Amino acid sequence: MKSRVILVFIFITTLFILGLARVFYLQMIPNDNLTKLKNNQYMSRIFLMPHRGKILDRSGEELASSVTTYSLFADPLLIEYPQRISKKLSDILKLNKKDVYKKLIQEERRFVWIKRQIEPEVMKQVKEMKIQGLGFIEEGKRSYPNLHVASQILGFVGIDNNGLEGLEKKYDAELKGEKLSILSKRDARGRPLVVSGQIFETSNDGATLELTIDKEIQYELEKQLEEVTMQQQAERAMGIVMDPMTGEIIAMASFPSFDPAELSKTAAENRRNHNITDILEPGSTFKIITAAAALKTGRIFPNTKYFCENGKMKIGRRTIREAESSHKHKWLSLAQIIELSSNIGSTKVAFDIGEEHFKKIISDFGFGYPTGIDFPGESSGIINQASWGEHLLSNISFGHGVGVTPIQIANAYATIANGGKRLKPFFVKRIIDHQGNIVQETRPTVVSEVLKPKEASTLTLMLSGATQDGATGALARVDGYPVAGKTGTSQKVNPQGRGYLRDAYISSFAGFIPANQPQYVIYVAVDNPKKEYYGSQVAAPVFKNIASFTLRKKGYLPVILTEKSILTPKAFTPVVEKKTKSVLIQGQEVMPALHGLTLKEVARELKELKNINLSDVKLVGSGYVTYQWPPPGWIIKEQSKVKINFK
Amino acid sequence: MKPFISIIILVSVALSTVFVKMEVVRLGYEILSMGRKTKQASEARSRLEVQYAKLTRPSRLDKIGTEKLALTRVQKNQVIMMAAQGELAVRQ
Repeated sequence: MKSRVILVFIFITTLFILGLARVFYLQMIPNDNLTKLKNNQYMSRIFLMPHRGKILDRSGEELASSVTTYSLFADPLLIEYPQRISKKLSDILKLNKKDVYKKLIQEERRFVWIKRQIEPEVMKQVKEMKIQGLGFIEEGKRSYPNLHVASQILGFVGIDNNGLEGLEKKYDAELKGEKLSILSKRDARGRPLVVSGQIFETSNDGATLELTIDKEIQYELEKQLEEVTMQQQAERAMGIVMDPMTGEIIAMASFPSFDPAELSKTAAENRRNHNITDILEPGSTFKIITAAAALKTGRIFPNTKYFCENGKMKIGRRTIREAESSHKHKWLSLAQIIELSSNIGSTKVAFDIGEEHFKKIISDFGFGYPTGIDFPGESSGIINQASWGEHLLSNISFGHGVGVTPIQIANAYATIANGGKRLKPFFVKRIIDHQGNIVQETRPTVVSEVLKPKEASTLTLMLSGATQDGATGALARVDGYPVAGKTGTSQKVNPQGRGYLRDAYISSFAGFIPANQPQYVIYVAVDNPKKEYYGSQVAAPVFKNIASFTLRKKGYLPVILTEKSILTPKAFTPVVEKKTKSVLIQGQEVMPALHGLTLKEVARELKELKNINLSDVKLVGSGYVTYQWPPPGWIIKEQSKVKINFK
Repeated sequence: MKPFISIIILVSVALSTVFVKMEVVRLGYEILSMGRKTKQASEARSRLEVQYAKLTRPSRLDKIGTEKLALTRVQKNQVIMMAAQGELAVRQ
């Protein structure tokens, strides 16, 4: 009996020890499989879908925003009565019944979208039907409350919320946020259990972009462009309003534009930001660059006179004429050449300054290079790098034979307006993360100093003369404010082949207001107007309307001209820091302006840049720099390819 | 008497522990529910902001002003600039 009791005791004790050993093994020895099983049993993964960040104008008004919507999907295997359900769904979702039915009977698939981005009210209606096999996924839907306003700047997103055009594309990484997943404990009903508030502390929304755009000025610009396009039966009109002291783009538009809500109905042509992507011949608005090049020689002054050949001048086998056959000018000063927009006068000036010097000044103003604006797809323009010859030199002096973008022209006028500093134009003022921290702030960046303040003031006076009575830009004048600006009328280049289109012109006006203390640079171009075609008749009045609206909105008082208020050096003190050489912007190295430097000077400039290895720089030719890549002001990344042409 | 008190204390501690644990779970659900409400409120706010932006878009206001209220665009001779003497002095 006793031995039996002992046996039972030993047996039970052994079992107990084995049990303890098993418990010890399960609890103390790490085991991946067991951990996985445990996690599957009471842990669940929660996906946090990000909201795409907002895009605001300079006053904090919404230009683009995201709202939560719900996308309906079905598992066809679980759908019991597809015929009946497709009828119900098609009624609520306003879909074709046959299409819904086709989706519901695809038994080979376990997931099929029924409709994406449904409003919450509609989602509730579907949920109330309690249909097995249907489910919802939360998705953000982009909303552009101002419809077409600034649509070519903002761009648009695809169905998956990826930026496809404009700033939506350029800043897609910042705007879209990050899809996060959190492993959280769940209860028996599958509800997540809160652990240390983990779920609520985690946010993954995209950042907010604060733009330099003013919504109201943008609307006014678009309205004016629409009116002039309709009135002149033009193909298109483009316009830019810019702050010359900072490089901020206040408004930029072209008409026709598009409504992001009706993308499918819009031609791809109208979605493009033509001010940045399109190249056109600037016409007489370019004459001020010729005048700038003349002043830079130090031997030509506003009162230096040129004989203008009575309106007709032969260059080789070709004849250069004034825009109007009645204009038979004899002797004109440099200032009068700008005022009366003389082609022959400009030609004479260009011949006087020479091709090399003229090329350098054109390059200094940024023509032939992208401005570096924070927008995708910017064109560089076209400046012929080969020898020009007399005929091309003549043409370029009055804005033909060169290809420029509207933003390049506006930026060149901003350079004159601010006292000679070429700035990098920009759209995004600040990037603010979801917690309200400023992660990036754009400060005005001087790419290079093109003109001395005195030269800029002289050019401003010349441009002011071009808007006086009897001058070409008289219709651009705004009562109470001095206007500096220049008209332009160029023949339209044939996009399909060589030469120009017959009876097709681009009428433009570029200028700034008030001339003595510039607040806004405004550029207007009308493509192929049918009723009138001179820039003075077509574009100048649009400039006037936009200029008077912008100044009125800003509450800028009419200028009372006195000796002190006219072009004092104080008026031309830009609010930017002086950065002309290789510099650091937000901790990143920036390419310096090398044009006109010798090899030795280039080597000295590039030596300061850590991201450029001098032995990797591609140098072509000898003499002075005529071309550089990357252009001045571009951020240089590690191992950036650098090419410099000398001549 | 002493063992009785000890048992009472032991039971009380055990019950309190259970109560605290249950309270933690209950508050967890409450936080979850509040979180959902916050999210809903935030979504509603986003919708209202978009709606506000739609209602105040310049083209709409322009249309209402000119078509319904018979307002006209301001003419240059209708603008009177009010400036203090000091401001003018600064400008000059």
